[in-house]
Amino acid sequence: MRLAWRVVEFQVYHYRRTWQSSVVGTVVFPVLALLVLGIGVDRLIGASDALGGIRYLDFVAPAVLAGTAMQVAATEATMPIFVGLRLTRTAEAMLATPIGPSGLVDGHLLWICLRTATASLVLFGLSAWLGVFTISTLVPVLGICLLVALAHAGPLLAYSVRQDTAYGLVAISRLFVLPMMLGAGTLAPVDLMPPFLAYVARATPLWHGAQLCRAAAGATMPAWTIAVHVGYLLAWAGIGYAFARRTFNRRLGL
Amino acid sequence: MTGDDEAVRCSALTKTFGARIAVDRLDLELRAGESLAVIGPNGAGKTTTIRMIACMTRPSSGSLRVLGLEPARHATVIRHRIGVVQQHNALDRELSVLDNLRLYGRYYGMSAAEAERRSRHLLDFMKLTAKADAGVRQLSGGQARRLSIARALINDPALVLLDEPTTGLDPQARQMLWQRLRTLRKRGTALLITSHYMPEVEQLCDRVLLLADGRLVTSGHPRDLVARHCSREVVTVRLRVGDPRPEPAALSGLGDFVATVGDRVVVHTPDARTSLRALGDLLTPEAVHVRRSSLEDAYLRLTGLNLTEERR
Repeated sequence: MRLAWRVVEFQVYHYRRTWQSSVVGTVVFPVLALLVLGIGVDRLIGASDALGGIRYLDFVAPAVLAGTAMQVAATEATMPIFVGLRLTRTAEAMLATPIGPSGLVDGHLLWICLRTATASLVLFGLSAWLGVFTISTLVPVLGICLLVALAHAGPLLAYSVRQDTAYGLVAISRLFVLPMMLGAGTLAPVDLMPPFLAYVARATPLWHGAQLCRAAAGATMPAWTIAVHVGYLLAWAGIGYAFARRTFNRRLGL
Repeated sequence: MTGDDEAVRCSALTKTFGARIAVDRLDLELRAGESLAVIGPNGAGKTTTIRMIACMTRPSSGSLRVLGLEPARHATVIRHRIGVVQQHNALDRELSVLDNLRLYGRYYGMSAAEAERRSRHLLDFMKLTAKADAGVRQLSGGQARRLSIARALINDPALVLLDEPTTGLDPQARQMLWQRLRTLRKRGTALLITSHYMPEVEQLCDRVLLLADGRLVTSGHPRDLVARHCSREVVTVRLRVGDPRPEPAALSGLGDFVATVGDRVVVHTPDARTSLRALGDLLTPEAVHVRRSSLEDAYLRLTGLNLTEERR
């Protein structure tokens, strides 16, 4: 794990020179989405029966946090890995050092956690200012966001390391990340969706993360439901992590 | 070879990718302070051999020990003690020259101060001190290659693997690198070098392994390989444009080995004068060049099938 932090150190140095390219997608866009949806749409529809009588802002802001965690994971676990292994080969250079394939996975996951935490802090601050969260929920909300990020990061790392061209990464963004961002119970309750799509939405880790964030924001939820959501995300994170390490070791090392 | 000075030892080392055999039952030994070249045509298995030794890919079969350890069980320990210069420089173009080195040192568990000290020492060793704060984008090809090699030395490795280290460098940069690599070897560092540049192999290496299609074709000291596989002299004759190409049968008695490559006839011979007289009876050359045979001649003779295919 000590060496994995050295990967994070590299990422920090690198990010100091390249932050402009990613901050738009992982901070500026979510902040704008929160303001437009949370304030604009909220004023348009007000408190709806379909939302259980809560403000639309209270419904959508927790989902924006969870969605941003997924977005950060998708951003950091795909293209940087592909570029580092296939184009600039800086990640490949790490493989010849004690970092090795496992250290590369651990280091990237730590970096994704760091990036998720900073993006989530910004959104949490804004949401709290808008009255969605109380400050006391900061730690659980950050924990949920990290869990959402890890649930997506492991499988995406494993997927990215298998790609020989960037087309597969574009496909995953268009076919999975964007549809989940829009349809995984984020912008509207899954109960309003056709039954088949509702089942699909409930199977996504993002929906479970969004529900947990809503619970942290004060939505009423039985303890067992919270346990199922946490367990589901933990399973994705754990299996994804094992899958990523196995794939990296098979593809890039011993 | 004792365990103490053993850098690499492999026996029947094999790597397959699906049905393709990249490296086929390779035997190899390298000791501390020794310099070994692995040469061969593209696709011969040179880079795959380096990647197996560098713990970057798993051998399919055979035994491999690096610095006395098995890669399958001690990959991290081995990586701590080796340096790898890959074909691509793989430098971070967003970072400065010094940061590229310092961060790489940190991958080996060095403290920030130690990584800085080693980095500055290596910049001096590779004559890059003036570029310490420059971005990698500002470096010439030769400077970037020197930085890439400096980076592989950050952990003071006992074994350095260099995959085509001087490809694309100008003669001055190449000479400077050779000098630095000779210094490393004198200090006891084992060097394993792949190269397509035969003068480099003759300058730097104690022994040569020639691979073709993943198999070992021959091995030995560069001078011994030349003596074993070449005649003393090589005569190269360039034919005039439009002149008919001579029949191979007519040329066969000119020397120990005769090949026609494009508009040139190459003759390996123990006596250039005799061969030239016989050539004069058969051809009217545009230019004639006589020289002592070299490792490149031995290489071309041993991998001559490719020349035959090209000629056809």
